[in-house]
Amino acid sequence: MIIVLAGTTAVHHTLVAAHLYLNTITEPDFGRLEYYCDMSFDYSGYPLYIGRDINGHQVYTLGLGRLIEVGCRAIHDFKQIMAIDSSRLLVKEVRIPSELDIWAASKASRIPLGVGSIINRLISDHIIAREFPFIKMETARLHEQVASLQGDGARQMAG
Amino acid sequence: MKIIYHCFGGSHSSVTAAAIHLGLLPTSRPPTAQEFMALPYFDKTPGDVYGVVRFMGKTSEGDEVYALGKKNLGGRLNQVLLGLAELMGVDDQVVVVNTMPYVNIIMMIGGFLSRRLGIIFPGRPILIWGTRLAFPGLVGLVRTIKTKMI
Repeated sequence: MIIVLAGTTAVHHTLVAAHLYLNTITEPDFGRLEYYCDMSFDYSGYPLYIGRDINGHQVYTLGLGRLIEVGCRAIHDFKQIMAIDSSRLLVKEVRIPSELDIWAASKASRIPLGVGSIINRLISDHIIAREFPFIKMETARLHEQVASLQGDGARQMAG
Repeated sequence: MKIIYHCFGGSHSSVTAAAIHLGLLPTSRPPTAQEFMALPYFDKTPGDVYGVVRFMGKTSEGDEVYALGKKNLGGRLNQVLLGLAELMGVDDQVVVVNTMPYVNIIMMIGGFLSRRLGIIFPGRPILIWGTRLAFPGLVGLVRTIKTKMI
């Protein structure tokens, strides 16, 4: 299975959620995370590979901008027309209350001389640390979803 | 093969390009207002269908053609959908085409009046005028896509 965590950007709360899911972080220490707040990895729009979970599922993050509902609906329909079911590709929206503030901060990263990156980093650190419990909850839901899909798959194989 | 044309509202340029692809419109001349209005979804889409991939028809070769309104997601949608297709190993089965570069200011004004504000007159005549002006560009785009698919 391929797991894609979709949010306003691929390198902020979605990245933290991916690492929480992979158990590569447990506390809000984001500084050591590869790609964290680095918008150069988000601008391409392609899913960003983060790692594999213990069951071998590949985990990616994906940035959809502020129109996350529109993007997720398009992905949902795209999966249907391409006959891709959720046991092969699971796209999980990672929603937190201040996601639009993070998106706005990410826009600041275009300010030159490194000033924008500092603003982006300061605001994002503050918001993600504050909303870390929400991200943890989203990650817990993801674990449940993956377990449920694995159960369904196993039942289908047995049947 | 699945071909997805996408634009802001999913009711004008993407629908027109999809219709050209399906042979629902003449390509030797700009279509008439009646021909545009006879197309499924043309200037009929409500605002809440953003993100919905709508089936427009099937070509004689068996290719399925779709239209999609993506609001301000921009060209990013191409990368998002193609990126996911690549991950699933189906990128050779789908073409995603942004029709926004072919949308002119007249279409935007007409579409805004007709769809957003619900002012059908003069919104729709302005929109059709703009779409007729954009039509040769959309025909060229579809030709390019069809050539690439061969």
